[in-house]
Amino acid sequence: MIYLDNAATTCPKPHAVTNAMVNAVLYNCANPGRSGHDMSIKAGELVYSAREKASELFGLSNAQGVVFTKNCTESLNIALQGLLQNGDHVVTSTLEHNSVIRVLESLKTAGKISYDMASVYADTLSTVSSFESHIRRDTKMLVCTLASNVFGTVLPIAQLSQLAQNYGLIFVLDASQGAMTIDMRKLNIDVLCLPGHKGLYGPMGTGLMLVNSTVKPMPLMYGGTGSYSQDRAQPKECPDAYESGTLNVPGIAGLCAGIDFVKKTGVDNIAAHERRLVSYAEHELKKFSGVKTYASECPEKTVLSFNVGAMHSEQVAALLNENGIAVRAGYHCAYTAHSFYGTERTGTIRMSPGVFSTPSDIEILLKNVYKIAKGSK
Amino acid sequence: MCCMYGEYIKFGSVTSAQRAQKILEANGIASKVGKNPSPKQTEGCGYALFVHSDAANAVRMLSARGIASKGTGKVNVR
Repeated sequence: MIYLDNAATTCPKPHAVTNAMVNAVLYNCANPGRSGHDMSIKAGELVYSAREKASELFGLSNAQGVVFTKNCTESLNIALQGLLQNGDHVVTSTLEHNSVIRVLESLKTAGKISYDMASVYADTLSTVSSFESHIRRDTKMLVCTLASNVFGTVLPIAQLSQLAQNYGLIFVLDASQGAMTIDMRKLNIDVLCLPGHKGLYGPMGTGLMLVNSTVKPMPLMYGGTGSYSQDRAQPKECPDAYESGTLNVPGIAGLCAGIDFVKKTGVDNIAAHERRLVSYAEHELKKFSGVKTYASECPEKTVLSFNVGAMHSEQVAALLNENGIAVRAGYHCAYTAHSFYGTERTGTIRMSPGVFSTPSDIEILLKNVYKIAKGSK
Repeated sequence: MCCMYGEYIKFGSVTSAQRAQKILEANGIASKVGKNPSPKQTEGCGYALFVHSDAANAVRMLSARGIASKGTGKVNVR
């Protein structure tokens, strides 16, 4: 299988990730933060080590601000539902995933908040102006994705963060997609939400919410934390406030190894490798008659969306799958992004390479797309 | 196991204790994380950081870095 669906989840995972998970089950299979015996303490050390590594990688000064969740969607739900109050207004972008849009829409439908979507343009100034034009007196938060999961368009995060700061808004970043170094201190990010199983090469079922001391979301889930047991109220301390119930220790062990792998390989090296493959695919696909690629204005993209003639993207993806190529088609849980790019009728085929993808994987994809394009006429 | 340590500092959660441990370690103070050996009824479950001696000094050091503890105690060796 030629796997070009890394934006959905990276595959394969580094061997170190698998080994760390197996070792956690074999040797650290105790409940951290609950008991006092050696194995529980050891499991707790493993979990804390993962918090430290995540906080170091993303420039968060306090490892206690690292919260483990089951995915980025959960992180975003805590950040949005936990911080927004009745009457608040939010500005977001047209390129958001449903993990942001549906949360906002549900809060809006409940009559709690209102929100506006800013357009994203090829030039930074127009994008920032679009965001600024939606800021109102009651705006409390600016939430956006680092990059579109469909088209790879990278948002001008530094400028948007500055905008949020200028207006005293909470800045929440969804870093599910896009490959770049993120420093929460430098970028003044209040809450950073990430999946553990994509760019961090950890296992599925892991996510992160990194919370700056500037904000304190209300938890979404309540229960046992191993701390303050005499108190009927949920602890206010981070991360306990958000981590009720037993943690996914094998998953966190894998995520910790994934972070090590990313640090060792280098975020910039991984990004450059993915960009090279995407750029090559884009350059070649543009030569094929009947094939349309998207977001050519964004050279930093690490995913590529395209269509073949008038075929529905799902048909093309099915044909590619028959030839052993894994890509994602359809609407990618981001219909507003498709509306923005005018691809609502067919969706798009998205190819997303990862660190283990090779130029020969792209060659095989190209050959197959060429065949499909030729046959579609 | 914590008997080689004479005193302890109490914390609300294991994460707070672990964070404090790292700070003490960076300042040359060895410690070990364990359960709070004698929690008051009002404290519920909690963790402690066991130090060889002078827990008060360690608490001052942690407090200067914004880390609040829940009090100190002496290890009862029978």
